[in-house]
Amino acid sequence: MADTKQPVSLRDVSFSYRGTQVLKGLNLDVNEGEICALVGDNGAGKSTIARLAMGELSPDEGRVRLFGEGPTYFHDWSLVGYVPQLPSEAVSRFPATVLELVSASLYQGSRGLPRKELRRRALDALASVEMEGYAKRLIRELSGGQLQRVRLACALVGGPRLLVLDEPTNGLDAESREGLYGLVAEAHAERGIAVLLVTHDYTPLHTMPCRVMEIADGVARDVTRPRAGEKGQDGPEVTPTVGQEAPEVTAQAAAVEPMADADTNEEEKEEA
Amino acid sequence: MLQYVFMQRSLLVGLMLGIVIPLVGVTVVLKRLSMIGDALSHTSLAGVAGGLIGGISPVAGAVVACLAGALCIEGIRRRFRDQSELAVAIVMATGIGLAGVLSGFVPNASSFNSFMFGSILTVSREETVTIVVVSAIAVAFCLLARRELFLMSFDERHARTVGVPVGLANVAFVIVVALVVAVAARTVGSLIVSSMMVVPVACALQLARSWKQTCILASGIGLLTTLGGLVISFYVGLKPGGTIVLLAVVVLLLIFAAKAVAARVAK
Repeated sequence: MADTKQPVSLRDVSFSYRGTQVLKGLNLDVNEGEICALVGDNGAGKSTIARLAMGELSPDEGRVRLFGEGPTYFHDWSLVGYVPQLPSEAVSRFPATVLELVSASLYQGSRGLPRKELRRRALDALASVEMEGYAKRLIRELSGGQLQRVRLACALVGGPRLLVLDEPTNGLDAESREGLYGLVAEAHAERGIAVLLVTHDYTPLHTMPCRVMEIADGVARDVTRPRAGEKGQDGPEVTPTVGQEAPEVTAQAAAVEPMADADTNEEEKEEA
Repeated sequence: MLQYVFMQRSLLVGLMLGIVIPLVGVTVVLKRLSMIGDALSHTSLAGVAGGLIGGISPVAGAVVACLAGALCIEGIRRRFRDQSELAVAIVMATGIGLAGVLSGFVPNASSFNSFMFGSILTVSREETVTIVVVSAIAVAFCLLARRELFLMSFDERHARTVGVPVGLANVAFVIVVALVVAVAARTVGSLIVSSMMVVPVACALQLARSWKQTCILASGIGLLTTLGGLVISFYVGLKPGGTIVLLAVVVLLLIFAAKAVAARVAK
């Protein structure tokens, strides 16, 4: 039985969108201090899991817990930082400075905080994502990559214990993607933050120590493989290819080492 | 001009509304609810008609109707999250329909008509007090809840994930907007209120370099154009509500022109 104070816990969760079943009895935990990456095809339900964890959606069946509480009633949001996909045009053109946005994002626990202290914490958060020089810039003057870094600063400013990143690098170039994941890895290494990462991008899987869960057919399956350059238990190396789409890499990994699944188990039983 | 009591009252009311209407307008515009002013002002007409028919204060009728309209907008918006403009359109249609039907039963048509274009010059002492109180409440709300309004205007999802009680804050905000629209309808007119909510904000967005500057500039431009419009209407003999809005539009056009010239000079 999982620790109920785990950052994220989904138990027997089922969810459907307008009659189309997306998740079926899914079980998933994100433990303290670990990085859990969700991969899978488009429409597999990866973002749905992130939205369930954040309380935006309610499961049809099963139970979702955020630090032991139902997300709908969760109150200590300073424990959680959230970075969504590249924001809409309206959000990108919001008439505020970077510093205003990061300061405002330190919402809970900031009442009564002197303005200087609020500003200092916001600048520290910007420094952690290498954006302190952009504090006075307007949000609309930032590139996509810069804006996502600022969103990461907003997520980090409250000192969270969990980061939920929902395809944060969609639409970004390779350099911006690597930069953003580097910052996430740093935050994880320095602060021991747990990370739930929804991604199509396989860059982080080869650069960050993470557990990889493939979402397919409504369930989650651990497909964690040795990192780049490390040998698998049976010898062959898993060679990463940055930027490959999920199905192709999943097929590659399957070709290197057969995955333990129901069909394979059936074959083994027959042979026995 | 200032020796006339009615002008003193009008300028005081103009000062309060010139600041507060654009101040709430900043959040209205940034939340992409620019039509909410129109919807609520048309709904206020239904309340005015109801009040005149029922023999009670038309301003009270306007307040009740605006509050009901605001809560309906918020309720429908929650139901149709991806099409929040539908909520505004539905309430506007209902308000216009009710106002149209009820206007046929109003005993004093001229009194009803004065609410359409306002009569800031004939505002009574009691109405002045009401406007001052509502304006003070609205300004206090915008100051005390500025972080909530900022975060909800930026991105409601982001606001929720940093702990803002988005549902409660939205309800509180639409109630404040409803109160402002209801009292402003009597003075500047139902057909003018939404323009006063949007045009000064449009001016501010062209010039501001931060959200704080946007709020200050919008209120400042609203104040100047309201007082300026009142003064012009006094000396030239024009309708004050329309004059105020036209002056704000002229300011906006001048800002566009100045920015175009500055851009050419910079090249």
